[in-house]
Amino acid sequence: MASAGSGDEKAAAAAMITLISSDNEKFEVTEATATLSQTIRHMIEDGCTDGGVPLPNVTSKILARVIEYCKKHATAAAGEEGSSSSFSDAAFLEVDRAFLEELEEFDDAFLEVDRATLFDLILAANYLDIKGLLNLTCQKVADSVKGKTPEQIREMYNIVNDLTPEEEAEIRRETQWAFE
Amino acid sequence: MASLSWSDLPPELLGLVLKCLPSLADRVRLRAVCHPWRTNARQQPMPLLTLPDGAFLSIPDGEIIRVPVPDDARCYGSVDNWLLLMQNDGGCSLVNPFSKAIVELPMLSTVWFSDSSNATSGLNPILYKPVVLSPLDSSPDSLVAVLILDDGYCSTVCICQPPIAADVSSSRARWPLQVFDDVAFFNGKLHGLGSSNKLFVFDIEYDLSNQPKITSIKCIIDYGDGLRDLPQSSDCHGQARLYLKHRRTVAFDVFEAGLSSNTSRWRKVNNLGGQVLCVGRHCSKSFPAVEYNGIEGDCIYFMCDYYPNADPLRDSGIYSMRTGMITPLLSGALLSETVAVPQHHGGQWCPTWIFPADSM
Repeated sequence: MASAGSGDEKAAAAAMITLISSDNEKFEVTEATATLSQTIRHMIEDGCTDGGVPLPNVTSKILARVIEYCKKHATAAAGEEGSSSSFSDAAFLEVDRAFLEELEEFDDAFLEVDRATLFDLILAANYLDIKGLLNLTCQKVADSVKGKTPEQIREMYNIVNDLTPEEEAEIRRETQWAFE
Repeated sequence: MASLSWSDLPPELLGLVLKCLPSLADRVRLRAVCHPWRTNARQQPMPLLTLPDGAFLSIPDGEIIRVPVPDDARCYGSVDNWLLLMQNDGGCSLVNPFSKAIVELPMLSTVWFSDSSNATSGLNPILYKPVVLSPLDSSPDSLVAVLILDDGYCSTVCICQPPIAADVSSSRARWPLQVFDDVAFFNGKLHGLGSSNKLFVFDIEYDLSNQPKITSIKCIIDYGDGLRDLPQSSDCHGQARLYLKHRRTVAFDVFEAGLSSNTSRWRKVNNLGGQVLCVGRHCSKSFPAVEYNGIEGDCIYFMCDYYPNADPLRDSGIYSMRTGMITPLLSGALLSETVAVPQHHGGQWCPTWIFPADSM
């Protein structure tokens, strides 16, 4: 009996993963949350998560946000698995429209961040290989530049115009139509 | 990480952002923000479709792009990112509407009438298709061939060393009469697709005055299976044949010219090797799908360019060779102004594809 109990404890403990940010902060997350990151999923599969997973490219501030996203979306994935055998979008929509709407609201609110944080989130999503978060953040950038002039985009993203006068003239000449 | 700026966004991530920007104008403006973005955002834009009023329709988002072109010029065809424009006075040129570069061509209708068998036929040229030996962006002095079809269903092939018409070959002047439905450069040689699916190769040699001349036209595939499904269209990789049913395209069969052995023949293929093929009477082009984010490979883009003055979207779509399904060219609802056709001063433009270069 005692051995069975310790086995259960062991399983429960194995389901938790410790993530360590670049500034050495530790985050305890469930395996379901952590494996939204393909990078971490591979590390778990390879059995190299003992003693925590160091993520030298992600600060604690960004990692906290990423975990927030993963927690929410891991719950969504679990709900989907539990109530439907199919992973198709259509089936998912049928299963729980309300939850999907809630998820969308969460995503919208999640993206209400300053430009610097958005940039770090993109890099983190790429590094951790979290497809959903990467698409979400890149879409946010794309939406923000739609219909904007290069000057407006520079201002918005604090980008220095390092184009040479020749390059600028070339752009104007070749793509005048896009600026009218 | 704090020291990084948005201009340092890695190319693959900038590519993901571009993928979310269906509008060509938005992508062009994004590339004009800073030097790294200009260098890194080298995503090939989607093909555009010319509209009868002289505007371009961006695919698949349906954005109408207006690029200034000479007001009295009418588009008769295209090649890559160049339009074949003809002015009211008959002047012809290939014009890159984005860079404004111009390659002067001879007056093609005058060239057509310069052939005595054409001149005495009492007929007129109606359809033009330009093809080039080398891309004009990098080789503005490339050999240009123009297929001219007339209202007597005969073809004339004009070889130009711009701005000069170097040689003209009318099907009327040859016996047996051989009409070409389509021409394409392949492996540096001009090929012509004749009736009964015969494939011809043009031998072009330079004479003493260094002008290219057609020295022979040889049949290399004599298929003769009698299939006459029109319109046909070829590009440098082979031939695509449409099957039309009830005046709407329902499917495509694609044949590849097997030229390796001495028994050349058409081979039916069930994929395009991952390529995308845009077919048209005035321009056909294939390109690898990988360069075009968001475009599926083994697909054929088609539109209605075989009825004069018809709405190009009337019979249009994307045919997937993988699924056999046809999906609409445009992802969203079509703007009504696309169909309502204001006249351009030079007259209605032919519907044709144009492929903005990635150097834009």
